[in-house]
Amino acid sequence: MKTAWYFCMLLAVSVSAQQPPKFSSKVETVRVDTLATADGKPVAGLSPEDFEVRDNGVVQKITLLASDNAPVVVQIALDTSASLTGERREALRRACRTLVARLRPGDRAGITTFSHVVHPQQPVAAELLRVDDALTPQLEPGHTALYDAVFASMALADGAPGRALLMIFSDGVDTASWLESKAVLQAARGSETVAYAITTEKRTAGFLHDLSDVTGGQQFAVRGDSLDATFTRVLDEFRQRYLLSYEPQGVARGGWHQIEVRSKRRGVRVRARPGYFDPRQ
Amino acid sequence: MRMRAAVLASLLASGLISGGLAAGPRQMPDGLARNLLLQLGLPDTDDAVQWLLAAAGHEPGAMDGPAQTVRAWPIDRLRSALASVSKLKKSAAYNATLARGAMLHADLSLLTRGDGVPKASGDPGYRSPLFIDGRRIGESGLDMQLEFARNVIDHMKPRAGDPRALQWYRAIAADLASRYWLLDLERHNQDARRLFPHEGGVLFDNACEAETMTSPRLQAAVAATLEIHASGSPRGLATQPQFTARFNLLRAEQLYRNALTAEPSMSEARLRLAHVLWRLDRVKDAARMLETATDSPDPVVRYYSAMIRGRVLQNSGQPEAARLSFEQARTLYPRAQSAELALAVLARDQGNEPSVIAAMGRVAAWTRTDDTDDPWWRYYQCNGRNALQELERLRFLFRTGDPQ
Repeated sequence: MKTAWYFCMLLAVSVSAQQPPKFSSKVETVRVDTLATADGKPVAGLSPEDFEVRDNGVVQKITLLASDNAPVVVQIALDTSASLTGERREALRRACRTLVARLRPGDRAGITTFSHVVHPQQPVAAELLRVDDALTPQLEPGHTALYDAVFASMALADGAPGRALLMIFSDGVDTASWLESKAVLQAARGSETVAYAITTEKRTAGFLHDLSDVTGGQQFAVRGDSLDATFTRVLDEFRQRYLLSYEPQGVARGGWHQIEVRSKRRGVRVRARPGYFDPRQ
Repeated sequence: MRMRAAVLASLLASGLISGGLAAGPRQMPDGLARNLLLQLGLPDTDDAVQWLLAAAGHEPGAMDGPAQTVRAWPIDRLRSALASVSKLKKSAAYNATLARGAMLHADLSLLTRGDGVPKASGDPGYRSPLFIDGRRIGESGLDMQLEFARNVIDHMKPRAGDPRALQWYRAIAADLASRYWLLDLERHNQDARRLFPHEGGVLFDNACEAETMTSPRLQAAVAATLEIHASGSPRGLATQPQFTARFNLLRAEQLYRNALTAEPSMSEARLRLAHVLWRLDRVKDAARMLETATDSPDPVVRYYSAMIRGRVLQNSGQPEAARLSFEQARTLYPRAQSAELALAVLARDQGNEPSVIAAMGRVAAWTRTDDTDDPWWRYYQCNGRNALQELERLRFLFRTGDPQ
């Protein structure tokens, strides 16, 4: 998505009257959103010197673009198909309100609901106003286009400037998408958006597990009464991530690039996306 | 006993209960029927007689008096009545009457939606909703009324040559597909294929059923059952290989090929076969199949064709041709979410972010959505999308004898 559009920093957009705009393939900056933890808790106050990043095995020179206080873009995607009813829906509404209340000046947020229909209820904006509207009792009596919704939500998040967090609440079972999971995961590999999946049951495999993995996010299994806490935890954790960047040096262009991020500090573990796809030939 | 058989034969021969095709609708007024029975010396409480009268008097599509008469009969009673009637197979109106009987019991299923199905010990007539992750995706079980209706058609002589039997099978298959009554559908299609092994439409219905088994929602159900099984709970459908996607894709491939052999002009079978081949990772075979596809007058089929063609072209490394195909689909259904997403993915692959954002903007602008906006949402219902028209055609055939 922001894909190698990521590679985007130089953003040489060439537009002509006849041709759709295309992003330059000159690339040239890779950004890696990284979570550092010790004993399971985020670690603050790290500097670029505390990290080592390898691109296809080659150590890169990194800079720190942002950490704790940087504004964030939060895209919420909620599965509102028929399985979300009663108390669970009310708990979700409360959790969304809590999340909105914790947004800071400068943050931006959007909300998308989905069944087999993907409804971007509110585009990413400075104020997230439509939580209640999005979770009105008239839920979609349909099936679940999870893959379609994730692609659309990531595209919407990627379209907004800033560090993007995608929070997906779903039971994790796709039953209606046009898009295939592998196409959406491929898109996610090219995106800088970090996906956190919040599900009703922990799955050790499957689409949401893979999505969290390829974007450097996490997956949480929750019960209705812990939704508030989980939403808050995700946002707080995301704020404490480090946005590292580098211009790839010493590696061939094109194809899949494996990224390895490690902390030089003892006892600190890091979580980041495992790579990126460079579409250039 | 001899008198009873004579009465039944008289009823059949009288034409009053034949409901014959050529003669149009024939319904025996209650009073006339009773008078006839009195003259023949047989009480109208006889089950075979009552069933014949109900079959003859039933107005297709109506929950009328004749339908109410037999609605609550247990299966044993129905079978007993049919056994008596079947002894009269040499009567001229025999097939026509049985066809009307099949229509009567199909209507009992269709109009009651499986509620109030009579049961008998050892009888397969049961039904329960089939859920996956909280959503009702269809029905599990067999509908006794449909089972009996198929049983009635089985007694027709010769059954396979009767146009009513063929239309009956196809219309009911469409209805079952539209409702995801899958066990019924499987049983129904097997019966239809046994009776009409070379009929393109029947083979197409069978192929569709196999393809439906590969659909995400059905495979999600299979996966859920696998999880239950892995946790040590009851063994279920997931333990049986015939429920896997690959098994059913291969089955669908063969059946679509058979359907095309029987009816080469069947454009929907060709494009669905291409989709099946694509899903089996045989992209070149899929592309070759689409090259021979012909246009359909049905916009839904044209939409499917454009989407599947786009998908195959995209996987064949022809993004520009794929884009044109997806745009053709979007032109047919301007509010089709799947076409927009397909275009957005293509644009993303080409690094065309503004097009992705534009596509998402269009999706976001649709404040209200109808299930007919995107035909993809009903792809796996196959001919189920035409169920209402197929049933109306069937009922019209029974009312007028005109196959339209």
